[in-house]
Amino acid sequence: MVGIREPTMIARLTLAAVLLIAGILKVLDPAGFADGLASFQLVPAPLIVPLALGVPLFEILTGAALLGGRFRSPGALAATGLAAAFTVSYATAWLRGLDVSCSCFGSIQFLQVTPAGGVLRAVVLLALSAWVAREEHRRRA
Amino acid sequence: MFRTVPMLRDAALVGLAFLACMGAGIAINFLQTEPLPLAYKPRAQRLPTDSRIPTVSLADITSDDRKKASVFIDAREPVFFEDGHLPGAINLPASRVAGGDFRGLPPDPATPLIVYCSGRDCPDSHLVASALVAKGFQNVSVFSGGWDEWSASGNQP
Repeated sequence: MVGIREPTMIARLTLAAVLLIAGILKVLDPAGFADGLASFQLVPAPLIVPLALGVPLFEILTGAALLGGRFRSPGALAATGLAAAFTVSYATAWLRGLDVSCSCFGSIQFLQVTPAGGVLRAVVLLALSAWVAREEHRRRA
Repeated sequence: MFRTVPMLRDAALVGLAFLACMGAGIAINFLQTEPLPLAYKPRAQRLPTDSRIPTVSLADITSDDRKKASVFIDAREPVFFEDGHLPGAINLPASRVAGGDFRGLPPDPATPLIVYCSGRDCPDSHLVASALVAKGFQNVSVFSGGWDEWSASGNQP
Protein backbone atom coordinates (compact mmCIF):
# COMPACT_ATOMS: atom_id res chain seq x y z
CA MET A 1 0.00 0.00 0.00
CA VAL A 2 2.87 2.35 -0.84
CA GLY A 3 1.77 5.97 -1.25
CA ILE A 4 -1.60 5.53 0.42
CA ARG A 5 -2.15 6.95 3.86
CA GLU A 6 -3.78 4.52 6.23
CA PRO A 7 -6.96 6.54 7.02
CA THR A 8 -7.81 6.63 3.30
CA MET A 9 -7.36 2.90 3.05
CA ILE A 10 -9.61 2.31 6.07
CA ALA A 11 -12.26 4.64 4.60
CA ARG A 12 -12.02 2.95 1.20
CA LEU A 13 -12.33 -0.55 2.65
CA THR A 14 -15.22 0.55 4.89
CA LEU A 15 -17.03 1.91 1.83
CA ALA A 16 -16.29 -1.30 -0.05
CA ALA A 17 -17.73 -3.41 2.79
CA VAL A 18 -20.88 -1.26 3.06
CA LEU A 19 -21.51 -1.42 -0.70
CA LEU A 20 -20.79 -5.13 -0.98
CA ILE A 21 -23.12 -5.98 1.94
CA ALA A 22 -25.86 -3.62 0.69
CA GLY A 23 -25.59 -4.95 -2.87
CA ILE A 24 -25.61 -8.63 -1.89
CA LEU A 25 -28.62 -8.19 0.43
CA LYS A 26 -30.52 -6.38 -2.33
CA VAL A 27 -29.66 -9.02 -4.93
CA LEU A 28 -31.29 -11.57 -2.63
CA ASP A 29 -34.56 -9.58 -2.49
CA PRO A 30 -35.07 -7.61 -5.74
CA ALA A 31 -38.85 -7.39 -5.21
CA GLY A 32 -38.33 -5.85 -1.77
CA PHE A 33 -35.86 -3.32 -3.19
CA ALA A 34 -38.34 -2.49 -5.97
CA ASP A 35 -40.97 -1.76 -3.29
CA GLY A 36 -38.41 0.39 -1.49
CA LEU A 37 -37.59 2.34 -4.67
CA ALA A 38 -41.29 2.84 -5.39
CA SER A 39 -41.89 4.23 -1.90
CA PHE A 40 -39.64 7.21 -2.70
CA GLN A 41 -41.97 8.24 -5.57
CA LEU A 42 -39.00 9.56 -7.54
CA VAL A 43 -38.44 6.90 -10.19
CA PRO A 44 -40.91 6.54 -13.11
CA ALA A 45 -42.79 3.22 -12.85
CA PRO A 46 -41.20 1.59 -15.98
CA LEU A 47 -37.72 2.11 -14.47
CA ILE A 48 -38.42 0.72 -10.98
CA VAL A 49 -37.80 -2.98 -11.71
CA PRO A 50 -34.82 -2.47 -14.10
CA LEU A 51 -33.16 -0.27 -11.45
CA ALA A 52 -34.01 -2.76 -8.70
CA LEU A 53 -32.24 -5.44 -10.75
CA GLY A 54 -29.27 -3.35 -11.89
CA VAL A 55 -28.37 -1.08 -8.95
CA PRO A 56 -27.47 -3.95 -6.58
CA LEU A 57 -25.04 -5.35 -9.17
CA PHE A 58 -23.57 -1.87 -9.61
CA GLU A 59 -23.10 -1.61 -5.84
CA ILE A 60 -21.31 -4.98 -5.75
CA LEU A 61 -19.11 -3.97 -8.70
CA THR A 62 -18.32 -0.64 -7.04
CA GLY A 63 -17.54 -2.34 -3.73
CA ALA A 64 -15.27 -4.84 -5.47
CA ALA A 65 -13.48 -2.03 -7.34
CA LEU A 66 -12.84 -0.23 -4.04
CA LEU A 67 -11.16 -3.27 -2.52
CA GLY A 68 -8.01 -2.62 -4.54
CA GLY A 69 -6.38 -2.75 -7.95
CA ARG A 70 -6.48 -0.42 -10.91
CA PHE A 71 -10.19 0.42 -10.68
CA ARG A 72 -10.05 2.05 -7.24
CA SER A 73 -10.38 5.53 -8.62
CA PRO A 74 -13.49 4.94 -10.80
CA GLY A 75 -14.84 2.84 -7.91
CA ALA A 76 -14.55 5.82 -5.59
CA LEU A 77 -16.26 8.04 -8.19
CA ALA A 78 -19.10 5.51 -8.55
CA ALA A 79 -19.47 5.32 -4.76
CA THR A 80 -19.73 9.12 -4.66
CA GLY A 81 -22.44 9.04 -7.34
CA LEU A 82 -24.40 6.36 -5.46
CA ALA A 83 -24.11 8.22 -2.16
CA ALA A 84 -25.24 11.46 -3.85
CA ALA A 85 -28.28 9.64 -5.28
CA PHE A 86 -29.08 8.16 -1.83
CA THR A 87 -28.77 11.63 -0.24
CA VAL A 88 -31.11 13.29 -2.77
CA SER A 89 -33.63 10.44 -2.49
CA TYR A 90 -33.79 10.51 1.29
CA ALA A 91 -33.74 14.31 1.52
CA THR A 92 -36.69 14.68 -0.87
CA ALA A 93 -38.60 11.90 0.94
CA TRP A 94 -37.95 13.64 4.26
CA LEU A 95 -39.11 17.02 2.90
CA ARG A 96 -42.27 15.46 1.42
CA GLY A 97 -43.05 13.56 4.62
CA LEU A 98 -43.05 10.19 2.85
CA ASP A 99 -43.02 6.95 4.78
CA VAL A 100 -40.15 5.30 2.93
CA SER A 101 -38.37 2.02 3.24
CA CYS A 102 -35.35 1.89 0.96
CA SER A 103 -34.56 -1.77 1.63
CA CYS A 104 -30.99 -0.47 1.42
CA PHE A 105 -29.82 -3.47 3.40
CA GLY A 106 -32.46 -5.95 2.26
CA SER A 107 -35.04 -6.74 4.92
CA ILE A 108 -32.72 -6.46 7.92
CA GLN A 109 -34.96 -4.56 10.33
CA PHE A 110 -32.36 -2.92 12.57
CA LEU A 111 -30.74 -1.27 9.53
CA GLN A 112 -34.04 0.30 8.41
CA VAL A 113 -34.02 4.00 9.27
CA THR A 114 -36.38 6.98 9.21
CA PRO A 115 -35.96 9.47 6.32
CA ALA A 116 -34.01 11.81 8.65
CA GLY A 117 -31.75 8.93 9.68
CA GLY A 118 -31.42 7.96 6.01
CA VAL A 119 -30.27 11.49 5.10
CA LEU A 120 -27.68 11.37 7.88
CA ARG A 121 -26.43 7.93 6.81
CA ALA A 122 -26.28 8.98 3.14
CA VAL A 123 -24.44 12.24 3.96
CA VAL A 124 -21.83 10.31 5.95
CA LEU A 125 -21.39 7.91 2.99
CA LEU A 126 -21.21 10.86 0.59
CA ALA A 127 -18.53 12.64 2.64
CA LEU A 128 -16.53 9.43 2.99
CA SER A 129 -16.74 8.50 -0.69
CA ALA A 130 -15.99 12.05 -1.91
CA TRP A 131 -12.90 12.12 0.32
CA VAL A 132 -11.73 8.72 -0.92
CA ALA A 133 -12.37 9.81 -4.54
CA ARG A 134 -10.28 12.96 -4.01
CA GLU A 135 -7.44 11.00 -2.42
CA GLU A 136 -7.49 8.39 -5.18
CA HIS A 137 -7.28 11.11 -7.85
CA ARG A 138 -4.43 12.79 -6.00
CA ARG A 139 -2.63 9.47 -5.78
CA ARG A 140 -2.96 8.95 -9.50
CA ALA A 141 -2.06 12.55 -10.41
CA MET B 1 -6.27 19.86 -8.15
CA PHE B 2 -8.03 17.08 -10.07
CA ARG B 3 -6.77 16.29 -13.49
CA THR B 4 -9.77 16.62 -15.80
CA VAL B 5 -8.98 13.94 -18.40
CA PRO B 6 -8.57 10.98 -16.01
CA MET B 7 -11.70 12.13 -14.19
CA LEU B 8 -13.72 12.20 -17.41
CA ARG B 9 -12.34 8.79 -18.31
CA ASP B 10 -13.41 7.48 -14.90
CA ALA B 11 -16.86 9.04 -15.31
CA ALA B 12 -17.29 7.38 -18.71
CA LEU B 13 -16.17 4.05 -17.26
CA VAL B 14 -18.63 4.41 -14.37
CA GLY B 15 -21.45 5.22 -16.80
CA LEU B 16 -20.67 2.21 -18.95
CA ALA B 17 -20.44 -0.03 -15.88
CA PHE B 18 -23.82 1.22 -14.68
CA LEU B 19 -25.47 0.43 -18.02
CA ALA B 20 -23.77 -2.98 -18.11
CA CYS B 21 -25.09 -3.74 -14.60
CA MET B 22 -28.62 -2.77 -15.64
CA GLY B 23 -28.39 -5.07 -18.65
CA ALA B 24 -26.84 -7.89 -16.62
CA GLY B 25 -29.48 -7.51 -13.90
CA ILE B 26 -32.31 -7.81 -16.43
CA ALA B 27 -30.64 -10.75 -18.18
CA ILE B 28 -29.97 -12.64 -14.91
CA ASN B 29 -33.58 -12.00 -13.83
CA PHE B 30 -34.90 -13.74 -16.93
CA LEU B 31 -32.71 -16.76 -16.24
CA GLN B 32 -34.47 -17.26 -12.88
CA THR B 33 -37.24 -19.83 -12.56
CA GLU B 34 -39.63 -17.10 -11.37
CA PRO B 35 -38.39 -13.84 -12.91
CA LEU B 36 -39.61 -10.53 -11.52
CA PRO B 37 -41.95 -8.96 -14.13
CA LEU B 38 -40.35 -5.81 -15.59
CA ALA B 39 -43.61 -3.88 -15.12
CA TYR B 40 -43.69 -2.94 -11.45
CA LYS B 41 -46.69 -4.05 -9.36
CA PRO B 42 -47.13 -2.78 -5.80
CA ARG B 43 -46.69 -5.40 -3.11
CA ALA B 44 -50.41 -5.56 -2.26
CA GLN B 45 -51.16 -6.60 -5.85
CA ARG B 46 -48.57 -9.39 -5.73
CA LEU B 47 -50.22 -11.19 -2.81
CA PRO B 48 -51.49 -14.61 -3.83
CA THR B 49 -55.26 -14.89 -4.19
CA ASP B 50 -57.35 -17.96 -3.49
CA SER B 51 -60.07 -18.64 -6.07
CA ARG B 52 -61.79 -21.06 -3.68
CA ILE B 53 -62.94 -18.24 -1.40
CA PRO B 54 -66.73 -17.93 -1.81
CA THR B 55 -68.39 -14.69 -2.81
CA VAL B 56 -71.63 -13.32 -1.40
CA SER B 57 -74.12 -10.96 -3.00
CA LEU B 58 -75.81 -7.84 -1.69
CA ALA B 59 -79.00 -9.87 -1.24
CA ASP B 60 -77.08 -12.38 0.89
CA ILE B 61 -75.71 -9.80 3.26
CA THR B 62 -78.95 -7.90 3.64
CA SER B 63 -81.34 -10.86 3.99
CA ASP B 64 -79.51 -13.90 5.21
CA ASP B 65 -79.35 -13.92 9.02
CA ARG B 66 -76.08 -15.79 9.05
CA LYS B 67 -74.50 -13.23 6.77
CA LYS B 68 -75.94 -10.42 8.83
CA ALA B 69 -74.18 -11.90 11.88
CA SER B 70 -70.82 -11.80 10.09
CA VAL B 71 -68.10 -9.25 10.71
CA PHE B 72 -67.38 -7.04 7.71
CA ILE B 73 -63.76 -6.36 6.81
CA ASP B 74 -63.20 -3.19 4.76
CA ALA B 75 -60.06 -3.69 2.64
CA ARG B 76 -59.93 -0.07 1.44
CA GLU B 77 -57.42 2.53 2.66
CA PRO B 78 -58.43 4.40 5.87
CA VAL B 79 -59.30 7.63 4.03
CA PHE B 80 -62.11 5.84 2.15
CA PHE B 81 -63.17 3.84 5.21
CA GLU B 82 -63.60 7.04 7.21
CA ASP B 83 -65.83 8.47 4.47
CA GLY B 84 -68.26 5.59 4.93
CA HIS B 85 -68.34 1.85 5.51
CA LEU B 86 -70.68 -1.08 6.12
CA PRO B 87 -72.17 -1.28 9.62
CA GLY B 88 -69.63 -2.44 12.19
CA ALA B 89 -66.91 -2.97 9.57
CA ILE B 90 -63.29 -3.30 10.62
CA ASN B 91 -60.75 -1.51 8.44
CA LEU B 92 -57.97 -3.83 7.27
CA PRO B 93 -56.40 -2.35 4.12
CA ALA B 94 -54.37 -4.56 1.79
CA SER B 95 -51.31 -2.38 2.43
CA ARG B 96 -51.46 -3.31 6.14
CA VAL B 97 -51.92 -6.99 5.36
CA ALA B 98 -48.92 -6.85 3.01
CA GLY B 99 -46.87 -5.66 5.97
CA GLY B 100 -48.15 -8.55 8.14
CA ASP B 101 -50.32 -6.27 10.33
CA PHE B 102 -53.59 -8.00 11.25
CA ARG B 103 -54.48 -5.96 14.37
CA GLY B 104 -58.13 -5.43 15.28
CA LEU B 105 -59.52 -8.75 14.03
CA PRO B 106 -61.88 -10.93 16.11
CA PRO B 107 -59.82 -13.38 18.20
CA ASP B 108 -62.01 -16.39 17.29
CA PRO B 109 -60.83 -17.89 13.95
CA ALA B 110 -64.32 -19.37 13.44
CA THR B 111 -65.89 -15.89 13.24
CA PRO B 112 -67.54 -15.46 9.82
CA LEU B 113 -65.74 -12.65 7.98
CA ILE B 114 -67.00 -10.89 4.83
CA VAL B 115 -64.36 -8.84 3.05
CA TYR B 116 -65.12 -6.04 0.62
CA CYS B 117 -63.37 -3.16 -1.13
CA SER B 118 -64.58 -0.42 -3.50
CA GLY B 119 -66.40 -2.59 -6.02
CA ARG B 120 -66.12 -5.37 -8.54
CA ASP B 121 -62.92 -4.11 -10.15
CA CYS B 122 -60.81 -3.76 -7.02
CA PRO B 123 -58.51 -6.70 -6.15
CA ASP B 124 -58.00 -5.81 -2.48
CA SER B 125 -60.97 -7.75 -1.05
CA HIS B 126 -59.66 -10.98 -2.61
CA LEU B 127 -56.10 -10.23 -1.51
CA VAL B 128 -57.14 -9.56 2.09
CA ALA B 129 -59.52 -12.55 2.14
CA SER B 130 -56.73 -14.86 0.94
CA ALA B 131 -54.42 -13.50 3.62
CA LEU B 132 -57.11 -14.06 6.28
CA VAL B 133 -57.57 -17.68 5.17
CA ALA B 134 -53.79 -18.16 5.29
CA LYS B 135 -53.86 -16.61 8.78
CA GLY B 136 -56.23 -19.37 9.92
CA PHE B 137 -59.72 -17.84 9.64
CA GLN B 138 -62.06 -20.62 8.63
CA ASN B 139 -65.14 -18.77 7.39
CA VAL B 140 -64.06 -16.04 4.99
CA SER B 141 -66.06 -14.79 2.02
CA VAL B 142 -65.91 -11.80 -0.32
CA PHE B 143 -68.71 -9.33 -0.97
CA SER B 144 -67.65 -8.61 -4.54
CA GLY B 145 -70.10 -5.73 -5.11
CA GLY B 146 -68.25 -3.84 -2.42
CA TRP B 147 -68.88 -0.33 -1.22
CA ASP B 148 -70.16 0.85 -4.62
CA GLU B 149 -73.00 -1.68 -4.70
CA TRP B 150 -73.85 -1.20 -1.03
CA SER B 151 -74.09 2.58 -1.25
CA ALA B 152 -75.83 2.55 -4.68
CA SER B 153 -78.57 0.34 -3.30
CA GLY B 154 -79.60 3.03 -0.85
CA ASN B 155 -78.13 1.32 2.18
CA GLN B 156 -76.83 3.71 4.77
CA PRO B 157 -73.40 3.44 6.39
